[in-house]
Amino acid sequence: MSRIRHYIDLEKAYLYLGVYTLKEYPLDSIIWIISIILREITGFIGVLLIARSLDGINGWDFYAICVLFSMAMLTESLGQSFVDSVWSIGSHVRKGKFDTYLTRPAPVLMQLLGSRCNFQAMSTFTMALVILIYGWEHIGIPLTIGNILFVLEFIICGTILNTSIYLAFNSLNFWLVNSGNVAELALTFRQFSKYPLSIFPKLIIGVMTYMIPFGFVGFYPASYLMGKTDWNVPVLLPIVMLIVASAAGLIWRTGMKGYNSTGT
Amino acid sequence: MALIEVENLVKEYKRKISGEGIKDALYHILHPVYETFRAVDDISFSIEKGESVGYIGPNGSGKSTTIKMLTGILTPTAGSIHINGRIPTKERIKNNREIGVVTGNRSTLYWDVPIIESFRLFQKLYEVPDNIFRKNLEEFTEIMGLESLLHVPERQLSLGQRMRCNIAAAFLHNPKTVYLDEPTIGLDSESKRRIRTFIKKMNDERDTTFIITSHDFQDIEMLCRRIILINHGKVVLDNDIEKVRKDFDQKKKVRFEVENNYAMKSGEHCLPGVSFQYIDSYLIEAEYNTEEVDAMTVVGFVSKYCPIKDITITGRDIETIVQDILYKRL
Ligand SMILES: Nc1ncnc2c1ncn2[C@@H]1O[C@H](COP(=O)(O)OP(=O)(O)O)[C@@H](O)[C@H]1O
Ligand SMILES: [Mg+2]
Repeated sequence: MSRIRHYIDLEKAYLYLGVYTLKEYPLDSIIWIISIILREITGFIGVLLIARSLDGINGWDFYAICVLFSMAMLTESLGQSFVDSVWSIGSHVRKGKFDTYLTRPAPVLMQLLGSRCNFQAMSTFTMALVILIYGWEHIGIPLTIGNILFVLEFIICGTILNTSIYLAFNSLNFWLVNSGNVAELALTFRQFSKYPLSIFPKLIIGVMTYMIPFGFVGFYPASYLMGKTDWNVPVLLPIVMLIVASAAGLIWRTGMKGYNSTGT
Repeated sequence: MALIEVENLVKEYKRKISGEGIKDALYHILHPVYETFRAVDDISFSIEKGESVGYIGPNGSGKSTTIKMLTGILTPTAGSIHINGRIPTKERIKNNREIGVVTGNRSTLYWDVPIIESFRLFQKLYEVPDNIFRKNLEEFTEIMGLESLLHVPERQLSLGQRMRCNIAAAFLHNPKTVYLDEPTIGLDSESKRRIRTFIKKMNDERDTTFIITSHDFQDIEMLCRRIILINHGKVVLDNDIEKVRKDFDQKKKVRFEVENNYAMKSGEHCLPGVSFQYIDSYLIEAEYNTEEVDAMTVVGFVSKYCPIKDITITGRDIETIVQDILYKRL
């Protein structure tokens, strides 16, 4: 129990350092915020244009796409804010930076995730919330306690699921030290999560559901909210999250063990 | 049981062999061939609490590899390590609470925030009580001259200032043992001096055990009571520095300043166990073996030929002794 308190304290200390860094570079932060908002908006417009030309994608109109896109964005921006350093596993391996973490009395993964926060991404999180509410109102999704709890569940489980997939991919850098960043591949797959999965061939739907389940950070939860699926997403989501997180943890630990034995 | 017990420690690295010529190179991409390289080859030693050990040897002899195994960064290929009864890679977090690690050229502080904020994070990380943290911070600031550095982000500090902060950081949680791998590499003399004073004080007053590797033999001479010399991954020598001096320093040097050394130089006079060298016409250097002759005999001999104005007698420093041991010039 006191261990958990200690780790919470430690996490707070890391977050505090993150805030401090933000204050150190106010101008950088502003440019960062503007550029990520622009990036998200262009991405959003792209999806909308495609939806328009298809006259609503497969029964997904403008508002439905708002809900889908914003949900995918919620998990992504929350991950960027707090645990973006999963993306630096490759550079940590190449520069031997895990050496330092290995000599300190805290889990290496925790030290890694604490090493960088991008609170600027909370701006796109807010933007996503606004878009979600906008789509929600127009569609007339009932504002029940159940639905609100589901959105909370989705934000937490979805972010963990999203981060776990990134962790799994980034951990491949333990083996592929000299081959660029293989983890970029994960981002390619994630592109699919912005569109209604049902428009894609069966193979891609299968991959996005059972192998690299980005379907659960957007498509399935959005479908559930809008009554477009029979699946019991509130139950499936945490199960998928647990499975993926365990698998990612296993890959991470195996990679770390290799790091222990070969050095860099 | 000693604080640090190392038995028959071995570390082998796998290296990819890249063939010569394009044809070979292409072949090796498809069929990678590995050779194993023994960086640490059957090393044993034990270190008691409070010892100050210089771990020295030529470049590539396996010093950093040994330190990485002692600190739990690398898993040994064979052999065993016990630190305070624990295997560092097995009980990592428990062991890490009691150690400090400093690696030259590598900082553990946060680049963008003032040094004091990094220190506060370490306080949380190592769960250092406030009163101990404050007391240590005050004392370390004084010895290492950190007053003006604490509120500056690391990116604005010089290498020497950064290293001073890093070393202070490694002692903040009152570690039992501190491992220092080339802590003074590339530093200015002011930083080196402060660092040496600091480490010595921690060892004297708090009984903090430390192992240090360094290219600078002044570090070793000033800080260590014991040296472990390794070469090609094997221990060549493990003894008290004073003992090493006595055992290996059977040669001493006397330097005479004279009116004119012509009388001796031209006469080619010799004395058994002594070799004379004539630097210019005013100096004579005599290297003699302490087991064969004593200093008075040498002085008497020289004074027969040339009036002596001044004499200095020197032993050799540890650096020369170590070079001699490594390259068998003894
Ligand atoms: N990660 C590694 N992979 C392969 N060989 C290594 C690795 N690290 C060190 N070596 C080799 O092991 C030997 C010992 O290295 P090191 O322990 O760093 O020596 P020192 O610190 O005494 O200079 C060197 O020959 C070095 O090239
Ligand atoms: Mg080294």
